[in-house]
Amino acid sequence: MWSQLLQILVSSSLLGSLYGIVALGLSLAWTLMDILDLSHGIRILLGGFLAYSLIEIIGIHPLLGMAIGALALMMLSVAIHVTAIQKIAKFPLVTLTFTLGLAYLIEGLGSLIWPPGTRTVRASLTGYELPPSFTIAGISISTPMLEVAIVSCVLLIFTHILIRKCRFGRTLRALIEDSEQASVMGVNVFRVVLLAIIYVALVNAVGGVLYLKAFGAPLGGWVSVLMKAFSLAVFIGRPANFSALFIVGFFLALVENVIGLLMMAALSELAAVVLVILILVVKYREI
Amino acid sequence: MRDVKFVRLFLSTRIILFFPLMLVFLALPFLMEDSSLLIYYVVTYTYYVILAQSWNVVHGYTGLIPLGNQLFFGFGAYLTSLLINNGLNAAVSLILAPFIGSLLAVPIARILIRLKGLSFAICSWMFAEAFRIVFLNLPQLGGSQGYSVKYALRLDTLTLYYMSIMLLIVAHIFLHFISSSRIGFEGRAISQNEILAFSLGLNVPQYKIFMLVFSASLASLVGGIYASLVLFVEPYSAFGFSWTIDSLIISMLGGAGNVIGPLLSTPIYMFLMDQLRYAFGEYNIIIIGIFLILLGLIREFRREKIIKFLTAMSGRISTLRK
Repeated sequence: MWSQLLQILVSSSLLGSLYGIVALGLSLAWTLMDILDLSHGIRILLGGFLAYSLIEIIGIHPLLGMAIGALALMMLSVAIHVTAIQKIAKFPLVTLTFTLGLAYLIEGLGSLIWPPGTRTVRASLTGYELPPSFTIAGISISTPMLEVAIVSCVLLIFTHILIRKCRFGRTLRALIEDSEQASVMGVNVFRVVLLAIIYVALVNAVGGVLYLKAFGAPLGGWVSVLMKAFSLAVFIGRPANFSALFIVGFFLALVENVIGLLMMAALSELAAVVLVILILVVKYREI
Repeated sequence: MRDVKFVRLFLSTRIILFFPLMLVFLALPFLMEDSSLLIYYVVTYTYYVILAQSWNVVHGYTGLIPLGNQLFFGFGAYLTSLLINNGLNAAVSLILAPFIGSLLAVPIARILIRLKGLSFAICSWMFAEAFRIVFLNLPQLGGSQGYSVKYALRLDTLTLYYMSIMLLIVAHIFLHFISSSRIGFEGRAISQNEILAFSLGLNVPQYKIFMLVFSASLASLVGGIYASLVLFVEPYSAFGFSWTIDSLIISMLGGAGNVIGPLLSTPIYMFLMDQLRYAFGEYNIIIIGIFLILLGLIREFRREKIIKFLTAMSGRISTLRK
């Protein structure tokens, strides 16, 4: 009983950090520009698929593959932001249809390169052969999940330092609080937003590789990625509190695992959805 | 003055276009030897029009962006199938679907009206997802394998054809009433500026509940027509997000809050989708993506130019008439 509980806690904390990474970009776009980016899920998977091709098919070092994938995603994200999103961010319906159209466009173009099917990054991020799992005090820990959790935690800690301690983070928080006031006080809004977009693209690309490593997914599976991101983004709300992403991610993974254990495994997905509805109704109610 | 003329012309066009179109539909099966393909296309046309209207009434008259129309579509489809399989007359089952759908919509609408903007959009989508997951795990309704309507109990195709046209006419009359009555004008006021409308004494929450429930009843009706036509429902297609995308595209093509718009934009959309599927196969998603991107951009940034063009055209037509 206790070992089972401990097992759930360990796997939830490993998974929670990944959920945090997946939600980071969506949360930032929501709080910074007040837009609902429906292309967030496909962007994460695109980063993952690019790196997957480099790592698993061409066979380059996983970290290098991840970096090249991130670079490509950064260029794409900046191009999309500069040419379209910054101009339409004020119009919710247009942003919605645009980002949805973008998700379909990327999925369609992606399926020309990657035929339908689930892709999983099997190579270890260290570049060495590692055992699939190991046991500590009776708790089995999957090595790929541990790798995923370590990279996610490093990235979350780095994000926390960047947002809380650096000058860039201060200006970013100022923009989230009140962009007009920040602009009056001399903040270069365009530059800060662009830097945030670049950073989000980096996080998304890494998140994509980690997601494919942890679960594996087809390119059409972007809706479930988006759902996970929604669940956390609405919990964090505004102003963005990115350090809480890990805690909320852990909580979501824990709820999923417990429901999966107690009831039906398929209903664990329902937990995330019900959680989002509850948070939205309690936290965002306007009347 | 010119605007008034334009509104008059618009109202007369609505009548000129709609009823003769319906009369042609009613007469067509008698004029053709093999009408099975016609029946399929016309029934599909009617459910796309009503579905688009169900999205349209919420966005056009409250300013909200609903992303969860598939909830009531799927519910209507399952409900109709279930009622038919339990021995209830198929036509009665179809007529009951919107009423039971609207009963389900009342508590959901009461929750949803507490939200605005993006949180409303996400929450409406999440409700649909929750229902999809629940229906996916209901073995009594076939789970992921889906649920079939018993062939012997199904609605005859010709009856379905006439029923769907009649239901479209009824729905259209309701919509016409809403659009040209006090409710419609109040709705447009709410969608333009909710706070101002509230301060002028409009009961905004009650109004939103009415629109959401009405929209849900239309979507449930469409689900019932779909189940009666296809005779099979499964959670992924019945609660699929694609239904909301279809209704969003058709409504935006026809104009938000515009009653006649979906009647004209639906055949364009159906033709485009058919051609795309034929030409590109599974890659038609690329064109849908481009279409969605362009649709939003053109609608927002060229709308004023389009309205100016239409007003100028209406002015010229009136001059010619004189």
